[in-house]
Amino acid sequence: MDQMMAVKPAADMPLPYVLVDQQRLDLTASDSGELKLSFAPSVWDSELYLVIDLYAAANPVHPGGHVGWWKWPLEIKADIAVKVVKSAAGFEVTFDDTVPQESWKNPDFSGLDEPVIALHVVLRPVISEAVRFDDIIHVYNRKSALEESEARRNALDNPHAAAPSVPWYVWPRQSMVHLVSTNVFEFDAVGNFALSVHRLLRANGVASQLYAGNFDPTLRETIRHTCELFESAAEDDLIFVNFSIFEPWLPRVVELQSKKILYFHNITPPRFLQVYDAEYAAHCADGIAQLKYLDQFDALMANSTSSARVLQQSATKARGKKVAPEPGYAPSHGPFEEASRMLAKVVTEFESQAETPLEVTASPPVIGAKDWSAIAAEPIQLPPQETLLLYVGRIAPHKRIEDLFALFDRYSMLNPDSALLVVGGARFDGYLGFLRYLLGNEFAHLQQHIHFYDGVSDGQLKTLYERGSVFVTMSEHEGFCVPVVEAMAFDKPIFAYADEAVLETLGRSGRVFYAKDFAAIAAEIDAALSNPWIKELLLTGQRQRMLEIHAQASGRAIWSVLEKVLYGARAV
Amino acid sequence: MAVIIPELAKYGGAERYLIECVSRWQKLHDITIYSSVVNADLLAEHGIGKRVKISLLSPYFDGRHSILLNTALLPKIWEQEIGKHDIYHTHLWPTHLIELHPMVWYPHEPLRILHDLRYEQPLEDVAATRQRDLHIYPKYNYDRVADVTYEAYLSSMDLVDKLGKPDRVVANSRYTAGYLEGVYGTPVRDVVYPGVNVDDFIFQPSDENIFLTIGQLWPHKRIKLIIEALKLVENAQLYIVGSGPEKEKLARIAEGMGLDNRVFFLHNLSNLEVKILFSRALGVVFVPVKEPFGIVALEAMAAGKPLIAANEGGFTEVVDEHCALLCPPEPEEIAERMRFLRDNKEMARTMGAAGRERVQAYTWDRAAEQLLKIIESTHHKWTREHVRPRIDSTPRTALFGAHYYCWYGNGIGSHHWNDTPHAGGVTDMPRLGYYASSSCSTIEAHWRLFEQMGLDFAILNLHVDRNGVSAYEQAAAESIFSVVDRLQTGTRLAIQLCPYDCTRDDLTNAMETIRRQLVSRPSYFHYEGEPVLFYFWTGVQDGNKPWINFVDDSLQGFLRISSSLRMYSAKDERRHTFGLFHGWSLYSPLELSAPANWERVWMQAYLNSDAGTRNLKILSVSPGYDDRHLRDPNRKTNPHRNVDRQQGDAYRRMIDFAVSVPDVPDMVLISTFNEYHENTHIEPSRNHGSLYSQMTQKFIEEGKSRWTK
Repeated sequence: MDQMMAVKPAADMPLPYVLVDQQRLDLTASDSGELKLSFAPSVWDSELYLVIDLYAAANPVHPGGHVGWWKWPLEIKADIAVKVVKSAAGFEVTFDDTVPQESWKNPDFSGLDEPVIALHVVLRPVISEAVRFDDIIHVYNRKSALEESEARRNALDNPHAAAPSVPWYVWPRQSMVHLVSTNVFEFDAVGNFALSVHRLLRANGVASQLYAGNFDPTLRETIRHTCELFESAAEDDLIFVNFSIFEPWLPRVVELQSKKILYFHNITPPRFLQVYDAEYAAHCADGIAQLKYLDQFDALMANSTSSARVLQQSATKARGKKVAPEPGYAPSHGPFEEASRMLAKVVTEFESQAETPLEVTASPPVIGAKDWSAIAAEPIQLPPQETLLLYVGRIAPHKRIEDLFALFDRYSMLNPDSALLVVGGARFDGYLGFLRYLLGNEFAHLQQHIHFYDGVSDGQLKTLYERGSVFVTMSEHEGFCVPVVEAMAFDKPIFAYADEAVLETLGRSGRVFYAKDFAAIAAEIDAALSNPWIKELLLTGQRQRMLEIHAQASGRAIWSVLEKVLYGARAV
Repeated sequence: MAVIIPELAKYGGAERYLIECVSRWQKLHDITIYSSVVNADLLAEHGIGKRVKISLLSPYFDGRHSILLNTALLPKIWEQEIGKHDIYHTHLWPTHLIELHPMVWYPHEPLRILHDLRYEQPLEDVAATRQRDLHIYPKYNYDRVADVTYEAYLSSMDLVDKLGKPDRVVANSRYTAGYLEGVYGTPVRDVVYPGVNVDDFIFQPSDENIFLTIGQLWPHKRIKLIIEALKLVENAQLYIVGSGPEKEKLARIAEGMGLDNRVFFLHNLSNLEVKILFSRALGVVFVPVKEPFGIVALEAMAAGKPLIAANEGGFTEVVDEHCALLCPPEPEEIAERMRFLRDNKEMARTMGAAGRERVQAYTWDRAAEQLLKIIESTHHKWTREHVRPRIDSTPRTALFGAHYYCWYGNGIGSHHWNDTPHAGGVTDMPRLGYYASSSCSTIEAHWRLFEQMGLDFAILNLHVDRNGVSAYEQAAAESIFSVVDRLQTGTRLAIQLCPYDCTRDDLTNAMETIRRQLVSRPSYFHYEGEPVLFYFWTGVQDGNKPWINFVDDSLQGFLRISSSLRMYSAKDERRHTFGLFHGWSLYSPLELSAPANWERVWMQAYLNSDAGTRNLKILSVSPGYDDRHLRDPNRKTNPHRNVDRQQGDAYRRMIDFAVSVPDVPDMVLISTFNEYHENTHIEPSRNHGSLYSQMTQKFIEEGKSRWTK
């Protein structure tokens, strides 16, 4: 189960939340720590109870990493003090110095040896098992872990790169920017973008605060739980929402008086994901349904013009345009079908709309060119083969890693001295299992030639890019595709399936294929690698395109949108 | 073989059975699938190729009384729409009410709303709406009836249900066989279990706490029980694959229980996606009410997954305790077994492996083979007992036929009786009066006359233009076939297709109509075992190879004889019509030349019989011709638009020529029996009395005695 995405509002109910007064608990020097919890008024409108759930931060699963849970009925409208006490018998939790109404402690796992414990503050309804609120505070058991966490926060707040652009107007002193993302994690493109906007603003003296519903609790303080936004956003402030999946707080965010900007990172159509992770697919579907809130934003941005079109189409739908039903014998009821259809039809339907489309500013989801020269290449174990086909990106169903296998199968017939490197994190266990099955069966003969790399550092990624012969992607859905730009930076010929956003990012450079004729693509790659003239032509186009992208990614588009939101027509 | 199923859209158990069998039989038999909805992608995905023909049936009725219409009327409509086949293999209810034989019915289950699901209605809905939902699988939605008439509807359906008389019934389990015996009161001895393609499944153990259930979302599948069970199993998810009218209700239940991030509904998945889900599942849960079989059980075994299932139904015959945990259909019982698998993954793997081993005995190859044997033996038995020898299948003498027009309405001024001066004018009146072609008394009178004359067959002209087959002629033709079938006369019926300015689609539709509605009739004229189709050939399409190739494809299965307006020769015909016709005949032999050249022209045509690929020798005779009263300007250019009958002398001259030919003709065609516009009729009439029918009768007598093979 994915605890990070468990929160879901009950239909038509305001999302309840709890404010926690501490950013972490330090149990390295003492055996107890206390948190003061304050409750939003909506808590008292619902029949809820409070649960403090403790997990090993490194293994937050039941039962292996589950320390226990402590339940408290919310019957008195008042703040509450939660005390966590560590003893040889394990952890105990009390509420206003009172023992919990109910509790469970894992007899097989005390958590005492764990350097960090994740303390979940959870609200659950009395009548069902749903999770209405979940916030995580780290409880530090070991000094070194606490110090490491501090160092990471400092690194984030002190970026190396200078701001790639400055605003051409004086920022109003009374306005700060609240940057909201559903999730912020390391190696996550959306989170990285949110951080880079944060840095851009702060480097230019603009007050900025990051918020997320799910984030690495190590970074707490630098990142705050989204519910805190409702306590701090003022009318003169700007709220910049990074929208990439269902955002449970969105209905409340749009009610705030501050000016609001939505940056759309696009949403993966759930049909790609549903059999591998239906819960995630449902969140994608719910996210697509939330596009109905578009007209409550003062400005819209998107990571590409193809994503912008999705927004424009959604706005048109929200205005009541009818969408032709999918042909078929039966009506569909599920959220996946509906949501997938909505995305699939975007382009064609948009073309047919007579109404003026909503204004959406397209701007790449990167700010400034990444300075790879400042990053030292780090060693990483590489296969001995001469030619390395490189893929960088998430290992997700819509990325069609199985098609990379099929392509490599054909390519290795032309060039046996080759290997396929798949670099990226895998969050879809089901999909990983499927890929594993393919490698154990249909592609068993390639097992020694296909290598996966997860969680690599920037330095290791640099090594992989440098050693890679070509960059390949079979992805069938992208919002922008940052790795394509990285491959350009390393001067690697790019072979990509012609997904709309990838086409846009490549801007008629590299080599795209509209059909997955693996034998033909393999022959193209072989030709490019064996013919320096072809390779040079490909690279010349890519270099030119990279300069264009860097120009677009200076952050000026963001300054421009902020200016329009701040000053309206005067800014035009 | 006709394979009939009400709908072939989704991939449920019945559809899967049909698809798996047909994909294996398609190389052994000519198969046509009949269904009201066909998902072509589904067939293609399973390797069913173009060799298998697809024919659409009328869809289910909806609205008022739809349940009765779908029970009593729809099978009879389908019966009309289904063409002639050697054997009919039907799936699901109510295809047994199609009166076509020999029929092997694989019902999958009786109509359970009449029996064990009769009182499974969700009463809160009934109380709120005063209506009841009735369901016939695989119809997607419910038929609704007023609560007060519920029992009356069921009684009526029950009555109709018993009228079906399939020649053989095959059950999918012993459980179903017993059920069917109870319902229909006759023994059901054949049981063929469904199968599964073990190698198609992704066999790998799962570490995820995912439970899978697959099924249509109807109340009797008891998905609600599984959701309730899941609530009692922490740290587990349920994937529900399937669609159906209960989906929204079930989703609400899951949400109400706070399980909306643990229970997921999926449908319209590809085969691969379903198999991936099986591979991810820790176990498969299946608790329907007395499922007749339940292919899901076999699939769980094939995927190497333990089954948690209700301890009732057909599938319990194929599982055992090593691969399945059977239990009473109660949430706590189900949950207990789900928790057991969650906490004992090694046991889940062992059970899965045992199931995969056991399921090797239940393959689709075996199921398809066993079922085909039953179908073939049913056909052989039927053929032995029922097929009557065709009198015209091995002609020992020349066969006599007459062109017959069935386009007349009732009374002067009606259809084709002086209705337009352009083409509908007549100058004579039949002795029967201006009759309606569709009238039973007219048809009976004509066929009595044909019997008397000794005519072997009549050629019904069907005109096809941009509006398709003439609706009037088609309706009349159906009446004529019905009456003639009943008369059991020796005079059979063949169709002559007369295409005028028609498209490929028009012709395709016309041929589909002929194949479906007419060729299967007992009275249809066969020659040496093949149904005969005459084709009116003006020569306009000579040399048009694409069109002729298309016609050639469309007319496959028929003995094709050209009724030609032009002369033909063995030498040139290959260039003109590329072997399209098996035989050639002249449609209007008097219009081809001046009287002085008649015999020479007729003989030339006769001797050129090898213009057709079967070298059929066909003579045509005609009593005269006169269309001068018709105002169609195209007719003005015809130099022979008036060939005087000369009180029978012209006809006599033709008959004399006919009896003088040097060998035995295969057929003699009289052009015409009743084409009044061109005055070529031999039917007794006011102007000519019975002269021509009597001359014809004598001619036939003489011909038959002279020409013996």
